[in-house]
Amino acid sequence: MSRALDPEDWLRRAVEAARRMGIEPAEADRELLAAEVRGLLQALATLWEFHVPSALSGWREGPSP
Amino acid sequence: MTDIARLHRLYASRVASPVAVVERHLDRAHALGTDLNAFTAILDGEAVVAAEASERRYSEGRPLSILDGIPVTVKDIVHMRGVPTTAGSRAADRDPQACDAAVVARLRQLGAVLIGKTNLLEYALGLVHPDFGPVRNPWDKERTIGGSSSGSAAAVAIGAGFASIGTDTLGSVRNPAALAGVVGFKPSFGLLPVAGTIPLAPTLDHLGILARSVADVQAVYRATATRRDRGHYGPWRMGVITFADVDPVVRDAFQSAVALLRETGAAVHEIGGVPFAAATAAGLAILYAEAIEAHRDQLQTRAEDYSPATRARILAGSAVEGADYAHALVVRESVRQAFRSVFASCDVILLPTLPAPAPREDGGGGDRGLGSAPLHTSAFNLLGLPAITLPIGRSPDTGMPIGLQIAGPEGGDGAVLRAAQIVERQRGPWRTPWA
Repeated sequence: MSRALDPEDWLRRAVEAARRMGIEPAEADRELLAAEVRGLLQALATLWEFHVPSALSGWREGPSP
Repeated sequence: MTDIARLHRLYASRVASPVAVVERHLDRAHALGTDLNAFTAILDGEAVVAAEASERRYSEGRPLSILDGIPVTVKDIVHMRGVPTTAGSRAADRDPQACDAAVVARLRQLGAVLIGKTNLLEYALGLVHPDFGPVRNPWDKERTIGGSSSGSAAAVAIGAGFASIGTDTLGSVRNPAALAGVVGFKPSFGLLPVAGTIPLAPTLDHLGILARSVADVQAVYRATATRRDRGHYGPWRMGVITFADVDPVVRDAFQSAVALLRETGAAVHEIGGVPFAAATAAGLAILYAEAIEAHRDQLQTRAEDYSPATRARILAGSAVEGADYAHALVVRESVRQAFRSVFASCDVILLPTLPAPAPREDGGGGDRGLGSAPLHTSAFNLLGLPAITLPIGRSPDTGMPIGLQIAGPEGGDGAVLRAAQIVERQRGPWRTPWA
């Protein structure tokens, strides 16, 4: 998945996403934010390493009529 | 110090006085609690009035419940009528709350005496706001007490209240309870109502109970939970989970506790291949995404009132994209199936609550850190399963407490509590030095 992107790119995306929410990260926060994003990206990388077959490859579960 | 059931009997037989007991607990809150920075508010006047009302009920032979006259504390992220909820942050509204949270209303209805609100990590997110400062560990003030229900753990450990209500999103009740040598129970998702509690991550947030014994946790749980289960009375099948990352003193204490359980006749077997790493990753993705959503409006208006570290942690959640969150939900269901398989062959599972005893706050001394702590605790939030920690020993090196965690299947709250009672009985007496 796209998680292999550069952390700096993800920091930029995080700042842009925050702006979409109406939040402007302060310049002074960028370093802390970069550190947090780096840690979070490690967790997301682990998440994507865990293989779960996507929905099209399996029988859809649900109640019978 | 006695326990809740015994104190209730002493009140009923007029041997003990709710007013005297509550005043003693308030004294401890002021003396020891203040030294440890455990409280954001100590409710002297209100508590004494409530204790006097309790005393009248006992004198008339009409106590409201086993909790009548029992001093308790509440983490300061749970609303209490007439008291501001600080959430350990300058960003929180400072007006006194108009209403009680559901759990607080229930405690009042049962006659419990609310003696204080406990300090915490800012918005329960893992960092200290400088206005509130860190809570100190009573076993060694230079060592961490973790969090985020840090004040609740300290208050219980020093005997300022018999129990405390905390919140637990990825381990925030069990983590400080283990580090402070007390019992911390996170019931199944929704069993303690979160209504009136400031959210962090709504699909992971649980309330929990901290106390000095399993019996006291059980007394509060039985009185406040929204439903019961039937419990478990053996024969026991217990699964043992081992982690590669644990400190040798934790490993030794854990193995000793498992050996004690084998002596009871329980069938104890090792469980492998449980996807704890995936569960933790899914839990973190969900936590970050839901936390920024919960704080979105307030970040737009009061961003400068958060500590910079908490603000950055919340903002980082904007890096979680929709596809990440959707995948985390799919992983959650896959992990759920894996745990269902585990619980097909055992009634409860046993695992170290944390990878190490409390390290020094300053990172010195060569102590193993607690960075991998969520690996031990977060799966049970992700799946909403019941989990409890109780002390099983102390580090021979530092004297700091070590916790054992017991977790159960969906609806297995009674089994978890019953198993914890067995461990407690096998372990023998445990006292915190101050209570």
